[in-house]
Amino acid sequence: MATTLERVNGLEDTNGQPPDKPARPRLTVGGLAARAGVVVALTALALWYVFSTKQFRSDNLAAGIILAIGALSLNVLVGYAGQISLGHQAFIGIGAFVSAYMISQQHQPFLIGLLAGALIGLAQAVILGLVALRVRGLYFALVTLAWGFVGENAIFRIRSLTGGGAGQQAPRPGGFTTDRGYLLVCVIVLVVILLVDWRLVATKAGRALQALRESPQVASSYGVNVRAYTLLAFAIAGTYAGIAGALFASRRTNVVAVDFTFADIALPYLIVTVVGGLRRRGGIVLFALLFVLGREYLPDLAKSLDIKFVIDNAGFIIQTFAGALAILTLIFQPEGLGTFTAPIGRWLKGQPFRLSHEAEGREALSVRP
Amino acid sequence: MSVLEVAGTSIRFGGLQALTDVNLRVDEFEIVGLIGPNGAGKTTCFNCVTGFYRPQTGRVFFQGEDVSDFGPHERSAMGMGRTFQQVGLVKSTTVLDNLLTAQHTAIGYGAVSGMIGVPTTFPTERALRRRADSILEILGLGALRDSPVRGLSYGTLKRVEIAAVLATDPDLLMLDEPSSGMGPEEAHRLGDELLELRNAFDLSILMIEHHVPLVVRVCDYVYVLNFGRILTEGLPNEVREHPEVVAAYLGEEAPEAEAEAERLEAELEKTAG
Repeated sequence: MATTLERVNGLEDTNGQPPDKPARPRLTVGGLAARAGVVVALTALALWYVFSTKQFRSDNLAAGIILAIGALSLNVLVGYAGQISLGHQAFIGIGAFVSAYMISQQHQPFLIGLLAGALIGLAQAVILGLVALRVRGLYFALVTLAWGFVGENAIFRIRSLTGGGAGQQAPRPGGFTTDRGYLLVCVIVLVVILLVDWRLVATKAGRALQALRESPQVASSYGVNVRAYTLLAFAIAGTYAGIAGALFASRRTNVVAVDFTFADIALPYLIVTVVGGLRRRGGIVLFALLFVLGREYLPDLAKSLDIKFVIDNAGFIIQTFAGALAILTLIFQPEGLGTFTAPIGRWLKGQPFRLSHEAEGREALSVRP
Repeated sequence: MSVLEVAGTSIRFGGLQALTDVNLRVDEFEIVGLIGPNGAGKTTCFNCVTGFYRPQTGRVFFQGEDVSDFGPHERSAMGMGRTFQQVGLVKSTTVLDNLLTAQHTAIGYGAVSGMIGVPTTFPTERALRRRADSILEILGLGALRDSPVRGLSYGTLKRVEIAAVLATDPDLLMLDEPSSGMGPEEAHRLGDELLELRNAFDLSILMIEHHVPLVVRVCDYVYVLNFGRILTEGLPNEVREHPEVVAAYLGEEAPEAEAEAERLEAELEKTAG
């Protein structure tokens, strides 16, 4: 410490450059080839899956991607901001109906519908965010639960918006009307959202939210505006949810109110978020895809094995399995299944393969009191 | 011009009068100590100054500006940096990440620009890292750069916290018991560091401290708080000798209490007899 003053002066001379900068580990040719090989193999597998004979597989993947986007929305709220939403059927449903309404009733292009869905998602999330500034923890969870039911029982009954029992038409964008074409749209949207999510975590807002989640006192002593950033988190989550809704609507091409219930949307989305892993977008996307594919393939598998019980009760089995998986995850792997895929992600980024990462603390789903 | 001026601050929590008419001042480049027994209201005073509490009466002036109506984040952005008694760090992340988060208000781009990946945000992020590295280097914490905060020893956490607050680029550094959890030798070293940091970062310092030798060595001026009131103020050596300060720290039996005890004893004897 006696030499610090000289160090300070030295620093000023070199224009703020630290004296010894840790060198980034360089990849060998072999390492680079191995990583490229894995990426190519995975891409080929995905392409084979999409272009193998059965058309409906693309539709499944699209459903999985939409689920992933909805779960990423919950990840922003629960994972980044430490808030909670048990009313995502309203977030996603309203986004879906507004998008469908804009496309079919107002005869706007798909992109405008998507944008309108995103905006309405943002708006309702910010309103809930204003509530979150005053009501906390379990009480706020109840507010979001209530908002979900308001959506189900009031907003989804507005005939002009939702088309009543017959539902609202939501045509797919021109040129992308096939399942494969629409899958491409979903993939593009997912990639954009993943990029935004990546930059979110890596920059100002992500760090501010992380501090905020742990301690509003520390965050504000670092200069973070607690109210503004809480609202920002809600705005981002609402935008993702609205986009997921818009994609949901056009995938079905006709949306009805019964699609958006607590049991069908809010709960499974939350389970996917938690099981996939809070703050682990890779794990969330992967688990969302597995969840949907499992739902589609279990009946097929049961038929080929000729197990009558499974054939008859496939829907229940999936739900029971998802619930059990959520409980097991919270007990044994509170950081989610994403912890298993994270080492692969780090390896692909060019770091040596290590199972654990020192900067990761164990932190389960927590609602701030 | 004084850096910080607290004028007539009083705060009451329900039936508890936590602070009564507290006045204190920190001048430019000064190290001011705030001492007093446990429960005297020192941390409450910090919370009033930094905006976490809103006192019922009194104003807070920071660099000549009345900041009484500003929130904590606004005061932090103006150059008030503080540490917490129970270590104010984001514990689920690394030392470096804390120093990056602490530079929040210095970041030139907006939150949304960062999210959508505006190209200028990338060099800014690199500059933040360089600045964090240089602060860690100055405090001799360079080796801990990528260590998770959770798992560091209490004494180290206190130093990391100072590094993080320095990253907020403060003009006034407010330290809440910086030497707690340190041995006498470490506390002595901390004194040297504080004096050097003041020079290196052009700081004024207001610190709550129990370690008297440290206070006497580094402080230019000392305020003594007792039961929410400023008991006395002055140069460290004067204050240390002040009879009321000695009494406040060591405790003193009030004459009325003594009389009451005698009366009760006499009564007890009477009933027994």
